Amino acid sequence: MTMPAVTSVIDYEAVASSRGGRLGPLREVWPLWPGLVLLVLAFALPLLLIFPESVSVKGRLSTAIYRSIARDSYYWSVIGRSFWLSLVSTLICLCLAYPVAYYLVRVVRPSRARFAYMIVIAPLFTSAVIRAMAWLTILGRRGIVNDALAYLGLIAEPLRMLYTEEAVVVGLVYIMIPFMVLTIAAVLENVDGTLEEASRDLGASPWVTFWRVTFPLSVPGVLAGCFLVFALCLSSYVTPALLGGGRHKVIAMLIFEQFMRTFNWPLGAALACVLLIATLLIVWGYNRALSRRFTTRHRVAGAAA
Amino acid sequence: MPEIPLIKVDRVSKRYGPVEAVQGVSLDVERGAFVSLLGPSGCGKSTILRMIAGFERPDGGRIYIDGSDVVDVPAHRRPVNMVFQSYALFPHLTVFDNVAFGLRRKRLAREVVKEQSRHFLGLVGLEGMEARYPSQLSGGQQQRVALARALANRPKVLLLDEPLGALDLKLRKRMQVELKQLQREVGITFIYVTHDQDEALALSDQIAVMNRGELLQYGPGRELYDSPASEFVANFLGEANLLPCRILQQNPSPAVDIGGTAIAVASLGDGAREVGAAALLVLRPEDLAISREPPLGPCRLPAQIEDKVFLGASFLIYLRLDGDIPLTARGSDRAFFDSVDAGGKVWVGWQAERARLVAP
Repeated sequence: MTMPAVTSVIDYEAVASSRGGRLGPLREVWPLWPGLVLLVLAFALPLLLIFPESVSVKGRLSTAIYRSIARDSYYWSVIGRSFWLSLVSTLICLCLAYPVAYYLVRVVRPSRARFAYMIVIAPLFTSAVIRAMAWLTILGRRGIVNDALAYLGLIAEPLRMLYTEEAVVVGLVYIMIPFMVLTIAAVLENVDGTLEEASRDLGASPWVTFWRVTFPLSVPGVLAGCFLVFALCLSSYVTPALLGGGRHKVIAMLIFEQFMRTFNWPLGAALACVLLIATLLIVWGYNRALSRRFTTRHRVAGAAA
Repeated sequence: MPEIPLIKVDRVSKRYGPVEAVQGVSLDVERGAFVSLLGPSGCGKSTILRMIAGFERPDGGRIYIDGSDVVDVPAHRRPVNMVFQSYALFPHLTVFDNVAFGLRRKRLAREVVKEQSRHFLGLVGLEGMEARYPSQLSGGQQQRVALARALANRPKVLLLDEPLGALDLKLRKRMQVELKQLQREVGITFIYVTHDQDEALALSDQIAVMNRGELLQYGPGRELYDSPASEFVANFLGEANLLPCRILQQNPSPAVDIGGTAIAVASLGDGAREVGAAALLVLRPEDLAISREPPLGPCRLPAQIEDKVFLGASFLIYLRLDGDIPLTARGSDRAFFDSVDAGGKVWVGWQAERARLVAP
């Protein structure tokens, strides 16, 4: 039986394990070494240093902090809000970014595409603080939106838009869109346009062609973009802090407070670990669900081979 | 009443920026015919195919399918299907789903879709491959899936854009035979784009030779080979010797002057040619007879042997006429091949009706 060579996220593993001998894996990851070193120094090491803080009380091994987190509904509400806001932001981001990516790759003339890409990337050259501040002037009590609505006589009192969860979502979506656009565009770029022509040729309208051919083939980009944006949202601090006004805490703010304000390092460390484990669980579950889908497909294909 | 052509391409032109890809091409395709568009790359043949399919819109002219103008009909509503050079199989769908793709768009009953798809997969010899993905198939098998997928829609015309271009020579020859059989079996009109003259000759009822966006000649392959209308067609379809000459005598006994020797021709070709006008005499290598003694008849020239090449089934003899005109002759008489040597003086003769005159 031949190895099915369907392009998917999961296939890399199959390819990697099928190649090389005992030393194969080590030898083949050499391009990763610089990145791995950085990752160990800047991520794994601090994590290892922090983790012991969270499991020791007065110098003795204890899960007391974790137990207190688990018992306290306040922490759960912050963690829940963080995941919920990240999820909503990611989905809105996807809906807004996909058409832009499609436009960049399929619609705009190649000569103008470069300019269009620059417009998408331009906001990334500005600090996230400044961009969040910009929303303050738009959504504030005396912001542009309220002024305009008052001028038109549609409202008597200024609407409270700032310092709400909605404001946080708006800010996050705005910040994250370039990442989503670029990730999806990169994958769409590799979807052969002839396939869309073939679909049209076989009687599928442009709409059906999109949903039957273009979109399914761009799913890897959609998944990658969602992962990236979700992770960035979950760990974001500046945007929720400025637009949520401290009232709608997310987990990054909570962790920051423990370390920098209340100097409760053990609690901060424990919260950081909870966030990490929760994130890993989600990623793992997501991957598993996907790989199951892909492997059943492979099995069907393999059985016929 | 004469039958209307199934496809009528009427003075169609298309330009990409400054490039005139297609210039005023008119072409009628009869129902059930196998027509090839033949020409070098960039000659506009694929553009014509894409305009018939509806992927490109002509800048001028009309295209009729079965009598109705389709220029404003979008690709997915045209009764034609295409086999792409890259096959364009959907990588995320199985072989079965690829073939059923078009049938499902027609909202046919599930059973009908299944039965039709299986029928056409059987027709191209791919029973049992339904559950595989395109990436699990060989190039030849992918080619067959592409064919089955297009045919399953029962198009009025099947458009094929160099469908065998990516296959190796042996497989290509086999697929040529199968393609021709398939076309007879399903009775669908084929329009076939290729740059391979052998392929065009082997497969087609009619060949349209194109160059630089223009249709140069359209007719049965035999006709194009025997009476090319231009230097390009003579050269592109088969091998040809082109002897520069001048018109010496008009009808009723036409003759040309080649390097001072009067040579009789059967006809002066299309278009009135003045006495003294320059022309090219087209001679196929296999129509030339070489002998030591001057042959009988009015068509003969002395020549010198430059080189000889053995090709297996035949051999080539490279000659040079007076006035430094090169000439190639093809033969199969091995005894004669062995008896001649480079530098030898010989005579070249041919039958007057085998030679054609074209404009220089």
